[in-house]
Amino acid sequence: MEALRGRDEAAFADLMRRYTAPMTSVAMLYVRNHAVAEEVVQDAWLSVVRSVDRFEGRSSLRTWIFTILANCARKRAAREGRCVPFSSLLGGEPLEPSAEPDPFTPADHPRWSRIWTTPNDAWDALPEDRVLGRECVDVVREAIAGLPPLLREVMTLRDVAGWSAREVAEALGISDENQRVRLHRARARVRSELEGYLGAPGAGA
Amino acid sequence: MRGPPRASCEDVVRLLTDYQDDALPMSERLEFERHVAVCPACRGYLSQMRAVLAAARAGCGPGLTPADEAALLAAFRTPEPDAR
Repeated sequence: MEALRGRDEAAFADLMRRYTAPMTSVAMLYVRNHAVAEEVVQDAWLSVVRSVDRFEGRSSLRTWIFTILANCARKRAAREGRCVPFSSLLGGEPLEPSAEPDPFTPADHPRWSRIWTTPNDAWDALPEDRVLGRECVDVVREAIAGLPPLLREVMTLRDVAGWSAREVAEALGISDENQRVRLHRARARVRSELEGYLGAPGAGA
Repeated sequence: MRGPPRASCEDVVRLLTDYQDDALPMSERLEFERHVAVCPACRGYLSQMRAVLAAARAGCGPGLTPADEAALLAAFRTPEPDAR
């Protein structure tokens, strides 16, 4: 931080390289168009540059930068008449239960209660570059984008932007437990979307 | 011989995120680990989840173009007086 106040260019360049990609992902929570998200991120950086002298160090540098980003993104989204997902938190709308087919044995099974009925090995048979390739990255990105906002926010911040559980709970003003519940549902849904893409259990490839 | 009731596969799936976030009490944590150690299907599930997380991370937006980066650095060098 001192380096930034002292106009240390190398420190600023390093910061931009580390944060721009996750910032773009976060901006996409507010504006659906990628080009617009990139513009929002640039606005946010300019704003950081202009107000760096006023940063008081009460929050972490990262939280401060992302707060600025969120403000820029909200303004832009408002201008484009798009509703802002973070505000959805205020309503506390209930999370709908997932409607996945039950992959476990029945609870009243005399010996093997609630264990997998599939070996979960369908992906193992696929070539590694398919499971880890570009296509899967795209499928996962789309799956995250298609999540309900309450889940999308948490998974974007945790798993795309790489924030800690604590940081996400604080940023969204939710409890640690609620953060985990949302993350859990989000990940489970995204996994099942990827499973649908890669081939359901037993479906080969 | 048997200890307390064992975790089922369903428990493992249900507790996975709590486990990863280190939010489980020690006893449940041990149950979780004990189950996974002997359950190939759960290990399969965990490895699928790892693939999901790797893909999510790899899907992080692109960085700045060199031109944008240069422009921001120039702004950093000579900040305009705060116009807000």
